[in-house]
This record gives sequence, structure tokens and C-alpha cells, in this order.
Amino acid sequence: MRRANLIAKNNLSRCIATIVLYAITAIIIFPIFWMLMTSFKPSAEWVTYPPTWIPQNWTLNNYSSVIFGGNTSQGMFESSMGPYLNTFLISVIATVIGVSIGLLAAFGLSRFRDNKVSSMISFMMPRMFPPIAMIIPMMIFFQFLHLIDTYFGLMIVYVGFTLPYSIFMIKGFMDGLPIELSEAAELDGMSNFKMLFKVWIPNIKNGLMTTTLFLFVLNCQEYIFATTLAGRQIETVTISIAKMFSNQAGTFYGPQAALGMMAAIPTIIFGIIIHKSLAYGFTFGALKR
Amino acid sequence: MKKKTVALFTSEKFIYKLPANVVLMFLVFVPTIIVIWLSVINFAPTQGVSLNDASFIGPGNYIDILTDQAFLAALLRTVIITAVCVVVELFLSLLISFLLSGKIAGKSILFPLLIIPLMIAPVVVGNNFWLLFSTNGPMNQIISAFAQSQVQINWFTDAHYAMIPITLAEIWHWFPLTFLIIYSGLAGVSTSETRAASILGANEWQIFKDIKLPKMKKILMIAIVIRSMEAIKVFDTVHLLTQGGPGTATETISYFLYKNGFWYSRISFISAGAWIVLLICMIIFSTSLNSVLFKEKKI
Amino acid sequence: MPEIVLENVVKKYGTTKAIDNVSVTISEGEFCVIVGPSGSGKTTLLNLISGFVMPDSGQIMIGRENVEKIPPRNRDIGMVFQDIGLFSHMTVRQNLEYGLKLRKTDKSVIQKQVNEIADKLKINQLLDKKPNMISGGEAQRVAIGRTLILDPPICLFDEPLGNLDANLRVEILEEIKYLHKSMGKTFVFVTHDQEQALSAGTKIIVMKDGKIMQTGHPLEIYHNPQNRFVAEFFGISSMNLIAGRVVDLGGSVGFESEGMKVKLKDDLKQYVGRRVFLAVRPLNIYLEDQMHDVSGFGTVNLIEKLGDKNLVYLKVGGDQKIVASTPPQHKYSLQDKIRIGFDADKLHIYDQEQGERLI
Repeated sequence: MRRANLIAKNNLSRCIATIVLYAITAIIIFPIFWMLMTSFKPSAEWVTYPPTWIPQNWTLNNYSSVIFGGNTSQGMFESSMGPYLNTFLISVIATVIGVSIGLLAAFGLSRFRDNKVSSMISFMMPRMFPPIAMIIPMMIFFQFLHLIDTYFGLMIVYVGFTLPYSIFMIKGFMDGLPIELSEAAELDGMSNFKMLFKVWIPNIKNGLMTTTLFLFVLNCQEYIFATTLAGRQIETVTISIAKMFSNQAGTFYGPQAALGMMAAIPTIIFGIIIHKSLAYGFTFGALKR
Repeated sequence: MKKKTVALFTSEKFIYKLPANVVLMFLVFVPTIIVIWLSVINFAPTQGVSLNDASFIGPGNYIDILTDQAFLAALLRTVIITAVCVVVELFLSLLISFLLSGKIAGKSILFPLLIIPLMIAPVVVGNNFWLLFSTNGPMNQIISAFAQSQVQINWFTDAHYAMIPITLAEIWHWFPLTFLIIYSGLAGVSTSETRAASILGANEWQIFKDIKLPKMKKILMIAIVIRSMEAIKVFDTVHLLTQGGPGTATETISYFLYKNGFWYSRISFISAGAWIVLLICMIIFSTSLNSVLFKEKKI
Repeated sequence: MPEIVLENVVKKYGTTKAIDNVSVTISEGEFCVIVGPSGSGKTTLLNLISGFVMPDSGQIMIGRENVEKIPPRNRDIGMVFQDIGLFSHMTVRQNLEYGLKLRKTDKSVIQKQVNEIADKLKINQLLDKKPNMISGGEAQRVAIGRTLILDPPICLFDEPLGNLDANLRVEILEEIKYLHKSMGKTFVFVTHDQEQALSAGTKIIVMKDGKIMQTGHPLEIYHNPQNRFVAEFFGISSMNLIAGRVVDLGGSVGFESEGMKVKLKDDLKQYVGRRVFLAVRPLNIYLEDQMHDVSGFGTVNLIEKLGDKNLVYLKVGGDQKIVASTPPQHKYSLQDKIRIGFDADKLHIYDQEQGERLI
């Protein structure tokens, strides 16, 4: 009978834990849910009070204004497809370069078992410094090099500021490789370079994919450099959203939400794809697998 | 000496790190030098002192900025936001990780959902929270329901409340990062130890408190350092939603530097501020990491 | 004192059956050894008893109570793990105390118990050290102590000697055997090592691919393996398996293989013509021996001197090779043609297709 009580207590605590967990998750998802719903709301429902949680009259107008440009009852929109593609282009290239450079540097650290803080601090600096602190000097520097408002300039910046994540996530995955792998390759007479491509990379494919997608997500989200070092000729989605927001004093809820959803969906999908491996990636090698 | 230097620069290790170092040179070292240079001259384009006219004034800017109330206030605000974010997120992460360690139905669905906020661009997050905290928005509605009376807070124009949506937006966006770090740390505790504790009679909570938590020092430190690094940079949401206002209620250090640089063109002034912030960050982060990583060496 | 009973238990991982319809009874006080190669399901079986694994179907009873829904911590069982699992952030003393602390035992009682168990396992000098400062053997003893201090009626051991140096293994195994005798508990011990199984248990369960191949007393298993797998698994150095046929030797039934003829004891008339294996252990083959009938001849290929015995590798008939174990003083040279005799009592015949044992 004592056993039955124990089982009951166990089940009760499991129940409570499940409820609490689902409640917390619901709260966390709520903002996304709200944005999603708003993106389908007609302008009549944007500022009603109390606000409607689920649109009474679903509409796709918000999306069409954002994708094709157009006229809603209060103003004209430019098509956001240009910026969308820009963001995609810049992010993809910057990500590929970022992962490649990060890969090499991570190998330099991991293969040679360099875990000194001094070696790692310099690679962390791009992320340590508030971008705003770097903006003014960079504007001067870029002005000098004629890199303002260029794809190349922006890409370099993107590469630089995702480099710390790239290096340390990949290093973490590399540190998790069993030492026998390298020892066997050494015995086969492989040079380090060959070892990197023939042994190490194939074995961290999952980790590389995770790092790549995460870097892509980070690059898509970037705003401050895009808007200060580019922004006139080259507009990214983040700039579009900010512009739309400030141009209309933040009152075009529908289209804003629609553009927000469009910006968010790809990154959400990538996040879901890599979520398991991301957990390990964010320990940056601190855990022995 | 010469031999050593040559050896250093041609060592294999160096070559692999070279591309990264080149990028760093370009994006970090050069700007840093420029910042330092800017901070010791008196460049102020809107006040008639162009780059060519500027002259060396040594520590002048540093004195100005360190005695500037707004700068110090902004620093304080940033420290407070960082602390609040870190503490709240650590607590939430530990709580959720603990709850997830039991047998929960649908764990594999919950997990990706919890990660989503990190995937949303900060400007979109700002946009989102604008919707949520607008005067006619759901936040006010929910609070009214709890308070049993009509509550209509103007979150973004009331200095008492403006910090709240900003801070919540930050927590919401970055929480998955902290959570993933903590979760893996906890999950990484050796199964033999947790099973041994289990068979000795420990329930989930006791395993969490007695076995898992004590081993989390390194991971907790990593989480705190990384999260703090991201937190001090708060900018996108502030820029979008409040522009540092109302007044200076949400002026974080990033926004202070932005305002003074882009609105008032006090370039040299903020360069001194920027350099101070850079120094503080470098010192704090390298010492914290040092203490964690050195512990590892003992074994 | 509880006995452990598993009835028709099935456990699948994906489409593979890790445990395939297994039924087992372990009586109280037994030292039961579950032995088999990796992947045989022995650890899964142990974990079904401990509760870390839940069965897909079937019943698990401890002391006649169904325990499938009861979590490990409520089953009143002790367990020792292969990688030891001492709490690395606690001292040895704190490790030992942990279980009692969880049960809110009085401090003075805890002290007493810790000292008693430390005496029993001879780990007193380690009490204030941390796990990373003691050797593997000492750590495993602490792990055993940590479990026994709670006085569980049943104690499970999951390959506890696996991570230890060879010389330590014998020592710790002896200690475990002694503890079993002196404390009268039920021990269930999992290993992949046949010698450990044979020397320690009062009951052996041999597993392969999730099924039980044979259960019984060690000597029974050793002398009367019921199928080829068990026979091969418990072979010392090697088990000789000679392919051949059951033949009529005119008067008696025998085994024939390329020139070798062995008279068989039992009446296998019905199997005449069947293709079979003759299974015989090296020490049951006699070379140039007056006492045994000569069954055939073999040529010496290789001689391995092992100190206490020699292993003589011979070629017989066409291409078949057999190994005989001889006392070290017998001397043979390579290419010698030797007379071979078999101990008729100590050989087994297995059907080539079914693997079924005929003798």
C-alpha cells in the first residue's frame, strides 16, 4: 500500500511539472502568436480595445502590401522583396566565409590543444565590444576605404562579428572528437592539413551544420551595422522593419507584423532544425562528451 | 629572440589562425586604435572643429566623460539591465531544465519552441513588444484582468515603466541561449552518478540539488559571461521603441554613445567613453574566464 | 527476503528486441551471474530489475510484488556500476553517507554505520579523500560500500570489474564473493567474462541476442553445454569443433571425419548419416596415450608453451585443425605424426544445421 502512495505522489508531481512547463512555454510563445495573429488582422482591428486575440476578419492584405508594395488605407509601401533578398545574399556569403575562417582558427586552437585564455580573448573581442563603440571609428575607416554602403564592406563586418561564435562553437565540436582519431591519422603519416579535411571535418559535420545555420540566423538579425555602414543603397530586412516602424510612428501594426513574420519564419525553421545540436554547441567544449 | 619570433610566425598554429586574425585586425584592432586616437583629440564636427583642425588634448575627453552624469547613469542602467537579465534567465533556465529532466509528455515539441525567441531578429522583437505593450495592447488587457480594474499604462512614454518592456524584450530574446547552456550542462552530468543517486533513494529534486548543481560552476560562469557580453550591447530595441526615452529613462550605455555620437556629433567625447567601456569589458570578462579555466587545469 | 522473477519480458529498441521473451527466477540468497557477449541484453536485463528500463510487456516481480511501475529509488535495491559513479564533488565519507542522509538518519547512527562499512571494506584511510585522489580499485570498493551501507536485500552489479586493472579484478571479485557469503544477500552480477562467471556464481544465466541460452549451476554449464553457443562461449582457449558425420561403425555408432573415427557412447542409430560437429575441449584430447583408443592421426603444426601446459595444434584429415592440451613435459616436434584419442565421456555432438546437442 505504501508503494501505491508513492506511485500516486510521483504521478502528481509529474502532472504539476508538465502543467507548469506547458504554461511557461505558452507564455514564451505568446509574443510570436500575437505577431502572427496581428499579421492577419485588417486595419480596423489594429487598435481596438480590448484587442482581438484572434482576427475576426482574416486578411492577406498585410502580406501583399509587404511583398508587392502597395497602398493600404493609410499609406504606400515599398516592396520588401529587395531587402529580403539582400539580407539573404549577404547572410549566406558572410556565413560561408565566417564558418570557413572560424573552422581554420578553431582547428588551430583545438588541434594544438591551445586552451589558454590569452589565445582565446582576442578571438572573443568582436563580441565583447558594444558595436556602437566601434561604429564611429569604423565609419571613418570604411569611408577611407570606400567600403561604405557596399556588399563587400557589410559582409566583412558580418563575418567579423560572428567570428567568435563560429570559432568557439566549432572548437567545442572539435574538442569532442576522440583523440584516437587523430592518433590513427598521425600514424598514417597525415599532415595536419590533410587531417583537417579528411578526418576532422567529416566527423563534425553535424556541428558544422549547426554552427552554419546559427551564424546565418545571427547575420539575418543584424541591424546596427547595416544601418550605419550601409542603409542607403543596400537595405536589409531589419532596416526595412525599422524604417517602416519609425516612418509611420509604429502604427501600421498589420504590415509590420507581416514583415516581422516573414523575417522570422526562415530563422525559426533553422532554429528548430538545429536545436538539439545547438545545446551542445553552446557549451563551447566545456563538457566532455 | 629573432629566431623565436620567426618560429612563432611560421608555426603551423599561427597559419591556421591567420585568416581570423586578419579579420580581427581589420575589424577590431584598427578601429580600436582609431578610437583611442579620436579620444585624445578634440574632434567635434558640429562645433566647428573638423578632423583637420583637431588637436591633441590628452585626457581631456576622459575627464569630461567620467564626470558626465548622463554617462555614469547610462552605465548604471546598463549594469542593472544586465544583472536583471542574467538573474532572471538563470533562474528560468534552471527551473525549466529541472522540470524537463523528469518524464514529460511532448518534450520534443516543447524544446524547439523554447528556442524560438533567439531566432527572432531584435528589431522584430522590438516590433513585437511594441504591439504587446501598446496602450491598447494585450499586456494592459491582461493586467486589467488581474487587477480587476481598467489599467492602461503607457509603457513607452512613462518614465516609470519604460524600462520594463525593454528589459523583458531582452530577456525574451536571449533566454534560449542561457537555457541551452544550462540545460546541456545539467544533462551532461555523468549518468552513473545520477543513477547511483537515484538507486540510493534520491528523487529528481534531490539529484538536481545534490549532484547536478554542484557540478555546474564552470557552465554557470560561461552562461553568465556570454549572456553579460550580449546584454551590455542592448541597442536595437531601445533605438526602435524609446530612443533612450522618455527623457533618459531607457538610455543604456550603447544608446548614450549613439546619441552623443550621431545626434550631437561629440565624436571625441564618445570615443573616450567607448574606450572606457571596451576596457571595462575586457578586464571583467578575461578575469572571470581566467578563474573558470584555471580551475580546469588543476585536474 | 525477496526473490526476483521475470516472466515473458520483452524490451524493444526500435525494431530490435533487446530482451526477447525472457523468463527468469532468481531465488533469494543466490549469487546469480548473467553472462554473454556485448549486445546480448545482459545489462538491459539488469536494468529491468533495477528499474532504469521499463519492459514493453511481461511482468517483473520482486518479492512477489509487481514492480514495473515502481521507480528505481523505491525498489529497495542496491547497484554498483561499471564506471563506478562516485560523486566526484563529495569526499568518500560523504559518498558513503549520502543514502543514509536521504533517509534522514540520525548523525550518530550515520557515523557508526560509515565506520562499520569502512572497516568491512578496508577503506578507512580513504574517508576524507575525494574520488579523484583514490585508485580505481579503491573507488569501486567505496561504491560497493555506499550501496551496502543501506542494507538492501538485493544488490546488482553491472560489470563492476570492467574498468579495473587485471590484477585488481581477481581481488575485488573475491571481496564481492566474500561479502555475498557473509551478508547472505541476493547478488545479481553481470559480466562478459566467462571465467568470472564460472568462478563466482551459484547460478549462471547465459544470454545471446536477448534470449537466454542456458541457465544453471556453473559446473553444469561447463560440463553440459546445451547448445553450440554455450559450448563455445565457455571454451578455454578454444573449443574444438570437428565437422563430420554420424556413421555406423559396425557394432556401434560413431563419428567419422576424414580418416578419424571416434566411437560414441550413446545410441545415435537414428542420426546415422547426419552431418554433425564433434565438440571436445583441448584437455579432453589425448596424444600418444595408452589409456585411450586411437581414433586417428594428426600432424603437429605448432606448439604453444603456456608454462603449466602446452597447446599442441594438429592437422587432422583434410584441412581440419584441432588443439590438444598436454602436460608440459610431453615433448613433440613439428611434423610429427601423432596418435589421437578422445575421452568418450567428455565429448559432445551437435547437429550441424540446428545446433542441437545430440550427445
